[in-house]
Amino acid sequence: MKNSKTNDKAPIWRCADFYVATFMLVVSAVAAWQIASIEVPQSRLLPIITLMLLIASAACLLWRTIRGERVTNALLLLFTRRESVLLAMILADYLLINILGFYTSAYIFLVASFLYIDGSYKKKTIIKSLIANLVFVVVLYVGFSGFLQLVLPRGFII
Amino acid sequence: MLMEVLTSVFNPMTLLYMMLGVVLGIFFGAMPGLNGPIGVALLLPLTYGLSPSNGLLMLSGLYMGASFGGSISAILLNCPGTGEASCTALDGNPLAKQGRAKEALYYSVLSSAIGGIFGVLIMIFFTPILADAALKFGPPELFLVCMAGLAVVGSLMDKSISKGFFAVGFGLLLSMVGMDTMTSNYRFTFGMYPMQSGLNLIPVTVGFFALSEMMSLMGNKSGSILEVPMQDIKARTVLKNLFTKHWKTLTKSSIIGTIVGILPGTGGAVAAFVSYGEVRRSAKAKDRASFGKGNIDGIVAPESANNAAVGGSFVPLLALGIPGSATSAIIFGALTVHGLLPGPKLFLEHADIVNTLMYGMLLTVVVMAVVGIFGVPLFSKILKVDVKYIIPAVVVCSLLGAYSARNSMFDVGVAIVFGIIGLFFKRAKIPTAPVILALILGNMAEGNLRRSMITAGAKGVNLAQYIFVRPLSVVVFVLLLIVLYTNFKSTFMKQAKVEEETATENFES
Repeated sequence: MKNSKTNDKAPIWRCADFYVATFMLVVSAVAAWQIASIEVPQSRLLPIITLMLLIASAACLLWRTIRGERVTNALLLLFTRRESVLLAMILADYLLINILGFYTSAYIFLVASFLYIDGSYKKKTIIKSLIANLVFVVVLYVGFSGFLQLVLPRGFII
Repeated sequence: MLMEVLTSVFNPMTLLYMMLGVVLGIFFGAMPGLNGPIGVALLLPLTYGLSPSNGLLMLSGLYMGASFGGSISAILLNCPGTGEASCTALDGNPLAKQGRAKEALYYSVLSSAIGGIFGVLIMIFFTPILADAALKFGPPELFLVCMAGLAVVGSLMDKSISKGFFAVGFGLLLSMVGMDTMTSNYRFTFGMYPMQSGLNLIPVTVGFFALSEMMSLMGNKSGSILEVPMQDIKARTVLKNLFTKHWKTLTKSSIIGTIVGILPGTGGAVAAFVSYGEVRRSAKAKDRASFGKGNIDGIVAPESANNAAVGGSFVPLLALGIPGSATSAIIFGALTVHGLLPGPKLFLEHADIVNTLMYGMLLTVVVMAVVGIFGVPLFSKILKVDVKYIIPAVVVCSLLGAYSARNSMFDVGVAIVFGIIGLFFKRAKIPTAPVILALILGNMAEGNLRRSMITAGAKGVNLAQYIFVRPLSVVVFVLLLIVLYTNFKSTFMKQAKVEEETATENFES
């Protein structure tokens, strides 16, 4: 993971830029599929120019990778476990907003992510997390819903 | 007349509302996802009961404060609160990571204040003349201005040109999502109903910068973000340096910011990127290499430009009733709510209110500078706060900001998706700033290009003939060529250097 560079003899599937170029080509393919469904020719002008730019940049990167220039470790592209866990928590929060309401789901997310990042599940840490995050949510509620009258999704609690 | 205006501006209640507007503006700007337009829209109903001058000064103070506030989260957390601040993050955050957060913040607030004063002074003294000049900018000129803005990407690219161009293309694709307003045709919607109204800049920026940055911060198990000791510096020293070492950048960016602000539909983000690109382009070769790694000019340029654009955007608004930016469009609404119809008659029928607003805006800049300078030691403490408090709080604020852009859960989903894409871009070393720039400029460039083509068609000439018979277009085109050449020359030289280094490394291995 620490090695950001290897030499030019490394197999192509170990190169990060190979996967990046593939990603670029996938984006280009999706764009081409969507452009095909645009009916009016005038609306297709800039999308087609953009598609050409995307394909050219992807092809250029792929060509450079095949030639063995600036080869980097493909594993660097992967998300770490901690990043994936935070992402899962954010997604859970997103799904809970409509059920529990913005503030309640935010409170659950705040407490859960606080404890996960801290890595300690002692009673004292849990109490600290519950109180600190409750204060934060109350401040948000007073500021946004109270003072600024911002309408946020409400659930069966708040 | 002047005495009346001064009495009105220095009225304790006016000062209080102005200060409230500025403080709220700094808060709105600093919160990822919230920004000037949202702040002005939320505060607008609160001004109904106030006198026109008090209400308008509170909103103008908020607009000015938000233009600076965005830089706080951009510098400290690499989570720009506003589109324009995404440019400040490029050099501001590296400086903060070097322990120079206070210095970066002082430069930001003082450049914002000086740029803001410049823009307001131009507004006070040259509104009628500049408003006429702004009207001469038709679709072809605005299209060329957008192209000049896009040419800035040449200086925003990292070592890989192909990845930089991909980022531009990706941003352009995002700008085209939704209904094509000229043909009512839907593009890139994947058959999804919420996509028909297009992608809002706020959720995309929040995802690309704030959420992806917080996910990558998860690498720090615990402890503060700052790994080196915080360096102390006085605001006085920074002010002195600003006038002795960075005065050229300050002057140039303030002028660019004001001009871009005056052009209808542009705004602070375009001003910030254009001035950043220009300063980087015109820097000496040895200084140019330090951009993106913590160059002071990289903060001075966007910050002075985006605040100068505030004054600039009021020029067409007050004189012609044409808003120069999204925030000034909402302020247009505020003016009409208070019975003031922007346009030439405004200066005759409500001279007292207009003058109070214009001179009062000078005072809002001073208030912003004072609040900002005294706030710097407090703001910079964020870097010492444990990440276990920072990450969850920023994520929640980002989701709230993404939602409040259009009161839509779809936008929250967009922010999360772009958070994932942003993290992947970071890993793949694809620059994110060109994506945001292309997203901002894509729509405007396309609209003006097609309007130019329609007009050219109606005149029976081709686009090139139409553009080159307009003297102003020719001037802008020549400027565009200069910007293109100098921006991409340095990028290609950088690429050649990298290739040379790689070849040497491979040979040695």
